[in-house]
Amino acid sequence: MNSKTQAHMESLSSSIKLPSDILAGAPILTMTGQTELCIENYKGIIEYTGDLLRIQTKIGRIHIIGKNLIIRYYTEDEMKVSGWIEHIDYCC
Amino acid sequence: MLDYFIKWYYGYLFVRIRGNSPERFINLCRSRDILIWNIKKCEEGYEFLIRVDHFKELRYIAKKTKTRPYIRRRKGFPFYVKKLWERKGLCVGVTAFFFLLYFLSTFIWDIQFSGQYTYTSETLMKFLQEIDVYAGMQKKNLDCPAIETAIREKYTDIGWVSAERKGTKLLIRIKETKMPTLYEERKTPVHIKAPCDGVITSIVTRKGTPKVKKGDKVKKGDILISGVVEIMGDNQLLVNKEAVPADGDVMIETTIPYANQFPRKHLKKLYTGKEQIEYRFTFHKNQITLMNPINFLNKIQKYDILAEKKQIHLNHSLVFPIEMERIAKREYKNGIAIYTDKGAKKLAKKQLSYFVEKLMEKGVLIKENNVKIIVDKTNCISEGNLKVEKRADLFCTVKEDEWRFALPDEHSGDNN
Repeated sequence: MNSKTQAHMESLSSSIKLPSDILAGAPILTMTGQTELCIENYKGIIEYTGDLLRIQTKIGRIHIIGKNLIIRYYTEDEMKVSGWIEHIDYCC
Repeated sequence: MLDYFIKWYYGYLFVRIRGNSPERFINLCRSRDILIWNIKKCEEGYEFLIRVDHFKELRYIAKKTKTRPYIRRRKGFPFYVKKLWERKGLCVGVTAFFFLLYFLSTFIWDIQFSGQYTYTSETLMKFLQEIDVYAGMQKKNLDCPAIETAIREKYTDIGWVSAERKGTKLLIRIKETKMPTLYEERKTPVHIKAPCDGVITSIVTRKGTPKVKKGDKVKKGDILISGVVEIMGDNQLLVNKEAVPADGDVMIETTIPYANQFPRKHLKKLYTGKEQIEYRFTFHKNQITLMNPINFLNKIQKYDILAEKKQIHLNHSLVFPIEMERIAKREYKNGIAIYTDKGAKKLAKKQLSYFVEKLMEKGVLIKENNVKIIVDKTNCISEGNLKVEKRADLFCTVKEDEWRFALPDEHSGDNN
C-alpha cells in the first residue's frame, strides 16, 4: 500500500469512527518498558537473529534491533518479543 | 499459570532446528496453527518449545523447508509417568505406604488422661477396658458421649469429664471435685472423751452436757461432753435424764514425743561409668529388643535402668502403635559412705518434717517444735516433743445405768 492510499484510508476510518487497523491494516505494537513488545496485524517474519527481527506488515516492514531477542510466542494473530530492544524502525 | 499447567500436562519438547530457511519454517508453523514458543537463536540454529502432539506435524514442514528438527529434551506429565512405569516397585511401595498410613489412621492408638488426682491413669485405663475402649480399637466404634457418661456414673467424685478424639489419640480430661461428705447424724447415745492428756483450749457444745471448760487439764479417757442430759423441773429438782449422741468441737493442747535415730555409716551406690544400651521396639504388645552381642558376655550384676520411650507420630495428634525405647543400664557397686554433720542434720530434718506432715494431714495443728538434733561420731539422734492442738474425737457409748432414772412410784399404795 503506498503512502497516499494509506493516508486516505486512515482519514476515511477516522471519519466513520472505525479503528484504523481494520481499514488501513496498520500493525499494532504494544511496548512494555524496553524489554517486551507485542505485535498484531503482521504477515510474517522475514529475518530473525538474536539481535535483529524483521517483520513484514501490510504497510511495510518493521525492524526491531536489540540484544538477546526471544520470540515468546508466535501465532496467527499476535506475537510477543522479549529481550533488550534498542530501536524499532519502519521501512516501506 | 493455567496455561503452563496445561502444557505440562500434555507434555512438551525442547526442539532445535538446523537448516537454510528457519524463518520460513516458523512462518509455516504459524500458518498451520502449530503453536511454538520461546523461540531463540542459538549457535547451531534455532531452539523452541512445542507440544508433543504437534511434533508429528513438523515432518511435512521440515521436508518443505529442508530443515531438520532435533529433540533436545522431553518434559511434562507423560514422560514423568513413563519414568515411573520403569520403576514399578517404587510406585507400588509409595502407594502401599499411603494406603497403610490411611489404614492405620482409622484406629485409636493412644489414650491419654489429664486432670486426674485421686485416680491413677492405670485405674482409669482398666475401667475403660471393661467398657471395650482400648488402644487399637477402630475409630468408628468409639462413642465419646457414652465414655463420658460411664466414667461419671462409675466415679461419683469426678465432677466433669470430656472425651475427645484427636487424630489417632483419645484425650480424656477430668476434673475431680471434693464433694463434702454427708453428715451422718449419730443415733446411738455417746460421750465425747479425751483421746490423750492435755489442756482444753476451746469447747463448743452442740448436743449433750459439757463437763469441762477452757483451760481445764484433762487426762486420757475423761468425759469432755456427756451424752446424758439432765432435765430439771420448775423447782430445780431432777425430773428425768435423757441419753443423746453428744456432739461438739473440743480442742486439746498436748505434747507428742518424737524420737528418731540412724547411723552415719550407710550404703551408697558408686557408679563405675560402665553403661550398656539396648533398643526396644514395641508394636501393639509385641516387642523386639536389639543390643550389642558382646553384652551377653559382659553381664552387669548391679545396675540402674534409665529408659526413654518415644512413640512414632506424624504430628501431635496422629500417633501410630510403634514405640521405640532406649534402655541404658548403668553399672554401680555398693560402697560405704559416712554422712557429714551437715548431711546428717539435713536428713534428720527431712524425716522430722515428714512426720509433721503426716500429723497435719490428720488435722493436728503444730504449735511448738522442741525437737533437738544431735550428731555424734556414729549416729544422728533426734529427740524431743511437739506441742500440738488436736480435736477430741474419741466416742464412747452411754451405758444404760448412766441415764436410767427411776421415777418415784406414787402408786405404792402406802400413801406416802
